[in-house]
Amino acid sequence: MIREIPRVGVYVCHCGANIAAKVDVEEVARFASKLDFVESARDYKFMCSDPGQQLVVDDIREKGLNRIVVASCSPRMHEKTFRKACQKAGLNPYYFQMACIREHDAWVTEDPGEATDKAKELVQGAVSRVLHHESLVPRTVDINPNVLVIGGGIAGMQAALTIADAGKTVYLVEREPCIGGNMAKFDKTFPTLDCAACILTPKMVAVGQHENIELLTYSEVVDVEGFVGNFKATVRKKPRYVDMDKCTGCGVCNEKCPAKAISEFDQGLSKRKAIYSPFPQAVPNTPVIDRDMCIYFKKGKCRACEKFCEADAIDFDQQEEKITLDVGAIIVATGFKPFDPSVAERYGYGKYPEVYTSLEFERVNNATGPTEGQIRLKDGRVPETMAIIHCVGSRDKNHNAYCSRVCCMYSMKYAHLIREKTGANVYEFYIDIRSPGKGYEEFYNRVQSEGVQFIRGNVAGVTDKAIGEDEKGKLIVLAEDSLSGRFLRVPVDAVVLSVGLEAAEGAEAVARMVGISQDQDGWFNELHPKLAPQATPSDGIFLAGCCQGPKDIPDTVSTANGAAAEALSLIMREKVEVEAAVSSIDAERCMGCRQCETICMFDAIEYDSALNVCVVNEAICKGCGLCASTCPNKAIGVRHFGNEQILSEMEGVML
Amino acid sequence: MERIYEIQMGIEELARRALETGTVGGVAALLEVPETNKIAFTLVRAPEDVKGLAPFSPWMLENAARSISQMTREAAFTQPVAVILRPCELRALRELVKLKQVNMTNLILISFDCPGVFPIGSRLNGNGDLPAAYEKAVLEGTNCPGIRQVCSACEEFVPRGADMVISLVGRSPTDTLRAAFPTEAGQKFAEALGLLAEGREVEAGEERDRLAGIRADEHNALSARIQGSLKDLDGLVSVFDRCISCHACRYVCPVCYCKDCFFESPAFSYYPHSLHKRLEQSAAGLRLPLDRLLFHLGRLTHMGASCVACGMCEDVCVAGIPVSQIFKTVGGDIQQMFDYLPGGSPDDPLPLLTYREDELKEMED
Amino acid sequence: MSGKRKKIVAFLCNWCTYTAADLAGTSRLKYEPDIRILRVMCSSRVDPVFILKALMDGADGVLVGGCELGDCHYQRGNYYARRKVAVAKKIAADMGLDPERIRLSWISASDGPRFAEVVNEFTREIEEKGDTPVKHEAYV
Ligand SMILES: Cc1cc2nc3c(=O)[nH]c(=O)nc-3n(C[C@H](O)[C@H](O)[C@H](O)COP(=O)(O)OP(=O)(O)OC[C@H]3O[C@@H](n4cnc5c(N)ncnc54)[C@H](O)[C@@H]3O)c2cc1C
Ligand code: SF4
Ligand code: SF4
Ligand code: SF4
Ligand code: FES
Repeated sequence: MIREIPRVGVYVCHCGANIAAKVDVEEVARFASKLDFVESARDYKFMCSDPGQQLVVDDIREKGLNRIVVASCSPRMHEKTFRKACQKAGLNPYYFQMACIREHDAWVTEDPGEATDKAKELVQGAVSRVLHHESLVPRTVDINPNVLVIGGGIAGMQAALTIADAGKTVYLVEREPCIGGNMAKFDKTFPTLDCAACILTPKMVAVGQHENIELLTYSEVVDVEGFVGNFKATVRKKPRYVDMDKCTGCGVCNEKCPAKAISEFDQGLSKRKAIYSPFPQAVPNTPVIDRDMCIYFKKGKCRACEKFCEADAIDFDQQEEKITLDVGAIIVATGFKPFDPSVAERYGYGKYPEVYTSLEFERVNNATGPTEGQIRLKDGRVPETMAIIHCVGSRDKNHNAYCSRVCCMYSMKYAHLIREKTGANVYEFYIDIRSPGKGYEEFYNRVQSEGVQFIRGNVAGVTDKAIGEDEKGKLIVLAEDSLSGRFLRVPVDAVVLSVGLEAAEGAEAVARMVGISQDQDGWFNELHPKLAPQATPSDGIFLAGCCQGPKDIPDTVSTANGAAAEALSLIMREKVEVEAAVSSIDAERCMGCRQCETICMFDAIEYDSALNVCVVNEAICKGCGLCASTCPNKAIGVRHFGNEQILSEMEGVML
Repeated sequence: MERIYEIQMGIEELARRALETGTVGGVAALLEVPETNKIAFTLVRAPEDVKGLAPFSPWMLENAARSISQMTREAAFTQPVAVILRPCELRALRELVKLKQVNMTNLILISFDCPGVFPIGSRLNGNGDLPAAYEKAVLEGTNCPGIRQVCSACEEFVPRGADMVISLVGRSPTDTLRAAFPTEAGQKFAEALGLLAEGREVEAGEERDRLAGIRADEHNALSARIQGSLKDLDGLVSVFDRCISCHACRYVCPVCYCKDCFFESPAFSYYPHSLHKRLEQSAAGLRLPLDRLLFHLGRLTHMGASCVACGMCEDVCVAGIPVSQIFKTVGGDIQQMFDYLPGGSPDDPLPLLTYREDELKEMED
Repeated sequence: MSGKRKKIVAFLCNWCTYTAADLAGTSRLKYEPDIRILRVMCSSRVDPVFILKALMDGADGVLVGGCELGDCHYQRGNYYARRKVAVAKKIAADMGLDPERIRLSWISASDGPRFAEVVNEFTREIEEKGDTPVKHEAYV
């Protein structure tokens, strides 16, 4: 419905020669001036220039225009510019419409006559549309200043610390019994070879002790509701069966527990107890009871830990707990899982005991690992030759096509460690060495100079079928040396598979909960790969670390700080403006059929049972318009993309 | 195999007993008093008022799902109410549940295999006597000459999801009842009234199957006829040119549940300037009102997937447009495309509220 | 305007196909001028009624453009859009309108050339069909 008498101003831009060379801009302006409700129409060289904008401002003030149409470039380019000009002149910015006669006309049309005709119709469409525009005011909502971080690897920890240091409350949710993520399993880190524990432990302690960080380990986020600035997250705390307040972390329970289980942390290379902490420096250091392995839980008898615990911290009756957290922003930092090489049979993983994954090899190298940091074969011998195979599961069409980015570097880290610790011969089978990073190429050179043999070529397989005498009792790596073109058989004592990175287990569920998407490989999608790498299309949700794609630790930490900065910048604003072009429901028309509620992809619509109508939560609505096209009687409409607006534009371009 | 019971009572008696025993607080059904020429879908509360209950009457005054919707949309019945509906009304009702326009709480659904009805005009202009030919057709399981086209082509004449299903085809409308109680609620209802104890199990007749065969053939013929008449724009214009845009079809349609129809909103008004422009440009003048055809096309986009082919729209069309036959055909095609039966399984989501990732490839380029 | 040109209305989603149309422009690709682009935020905004109304108002063709399946900015809008377009096409087909005058295309933001190609292809098809009979029957 047109509510006041429209006085439309039309401005046809030459864009230098960009438009004017093809479109007869004067003719278009003349045509526009004859359309109904058009008060003034003119053409101008550069509408987006300051004088161009001033023209609009002055005309609004002097001629009392209340609707503006600019025919120029794409609205994706300059809609904001002209909206601002309108606003400057006191006109609601939504009383503006753009006709795209450059990208959609002048630049793509051969014939000037036809280009001019098309421009006229596009202008006519814009004029018809703008008659039906409504003034809109963006709304603001308060922002809750707390932040939730999902995932307590180095990314989540770093983000939490940065935000907590700024004085804001952070909830850090980690599903494992302790924080640290994958990095906690490493021995040394490339390229500087500092000991992972030496740099990570202080961080873990800082997180554990920070007054602004509430650490929720052995916990998972199970539901997220709400919208930017006002999320409500439900967290399920799994029972540890150990009272965190009482436990002193003395470890006597662990000593006394008679039940053994496979250590996940050591990648299955050692045993742990049913009551355990994943590793000695774990934060928090309160152990958990593995219910499936605990003799008491299985048979109803034992309780050895309880008997010996002086702090009286064991609590077999502990129950799962659900808590809700109110937060304004969420940082997702769920990291990665290593590629499982058993699906690529040719590498012999799982078949030959001396074939290790890289993560297993990290544990072998680690002083707290199964061999206390010594590189030994399963029979205790020191290896004389070892092979490291790059790109296992990566850059491989059968598995993951992408490059996992860190494997070249950590492979060379292993080569160095093997040389240093055992003096063994090391063969690196690689496709390309990727070492971009500060000090990375230098590290490559260093390892080369340490006598490591680099063989460029695809590995066809690993076998124990010896041909010659020298191959007996060894594993033979079959590969083609792509530099010399020769086919090689390299006998070695042990093989390390440099497995790639994949999105963490459960990433899909997290994506669904917080309303973000995953790319074809399962990594979370950022809002823009270059210009908004930490933000997501869901306002208030940010990404840190490897959950968005493989990264080394320096990049992980930078993205974590990036995400923290974005989250801080959001919550420090205290209020957030929400898009005005969202949907709204006319309660008079609404029949309460709830089709919109069912179909909305963002859960932006709620049902008010008292009034038997649906209500849009404008802060969540993204303005896609799916509900509007679904509601039969059009009780629901999207502002600025309403039926009348679209249909009048359609009429306009067709007349 | 469904268990059918022969019950020694008529429909009035059944209703009376249900009310008297307090099993239900009301019975909603078509009520007809030929002597005084009264006929209306009625909610009866007192046992003495059941006289004239005529759910099997060969006329339909409205699609009763509309009335049930009106009564339950805002608040459910607080005590059990038995509603006696034709299968198309029942399907409309079940469709309206998905659209949140009906609250099923406390409804006991009674339906029957429907022999079809005559156009409403014949009742409004005549008396309520049951034509002998109709009785005969019901007995034999054939289409009675003169029943509505959509009825004679209706393949969904056996109710789905009713608590009590009365067998009519193969029987006389005035006979004692034969019924099955397929649901738990139906079983309870029957037990409360002692119907199972009194009743005697009987075999189903073959008349239903005969009728089904006839209906299937008729359906094919109807589709072909409609498709033939609408094969091009000329056909479309000839069929709908008589439409007087009264929108009565949408007012009686059970699945057009809106209080304010979109097609009567300002979004469809053409502004004078655009009208004049159109006129200037048009080679052949303007056919007015401009949205006469669009109304039908547009309405189809709204309820085509849910049309139960009850025939009401056609019944009320003063212009004699075969609206229902058209909507049955087009709606049926839409339903088939989405493998959807309106008023079928409550678990099937409304077709436009869902999708499958691997479907409709032929719709994209 | 110039009588020989057809009227093709295009509803393009802001994030992909509209952007592809912009890109076709910045890349100076030339395509047939019959198309009139309207911007919607998502292909799922396109009401089947818009499509049918366009046809009844005398459009020779209607193009609906959205992101590639799986890439909708709003996640799944285009899957719903596909059902909506399917309904419009089915109704058109059954009611004596030509469903081939309706086209649904997924064109990603980076695919300017594909956009130009689709426009040319569709325009050619429509030209082969000739004017919509609606024009001569009088606007209906
Ligand atoms: C074998 C190997 C060696 C490497 N060596 C080096 C090196 O030497 N130098 C270097 O710079 N980089 C190295 N990297 C890369 C390094 O591991 C990563 O950059 C870093 O660990 C990424 O940290 P993150 O926090 O993003 O992920 P992660 O370390 O994977 O942490 C993610 C955390 O989130 C938790 N989590 C996951 N899902 C959920 C959920 N739904 N709810 C709650 N919590 C959840 C996990 O339990 C985990 O604790 C190596 C990688 C590998 C595989
Ligand atoms: S416009 Fe889209 S996001 Fe907004 S309420 Fe409607 S369906 Fe939901
Ligand atoms: S045609 Fe559509 S808007 Fe009108 S009453 Fe029917 S469903 Fe509602
Ligand atoms: S369109 Fe006609 S036949 Fe279909 S449900 Fe509505 S009234 Fe009945
Ligand atoms: S945003 Fe492009 S199809 Fe949804």
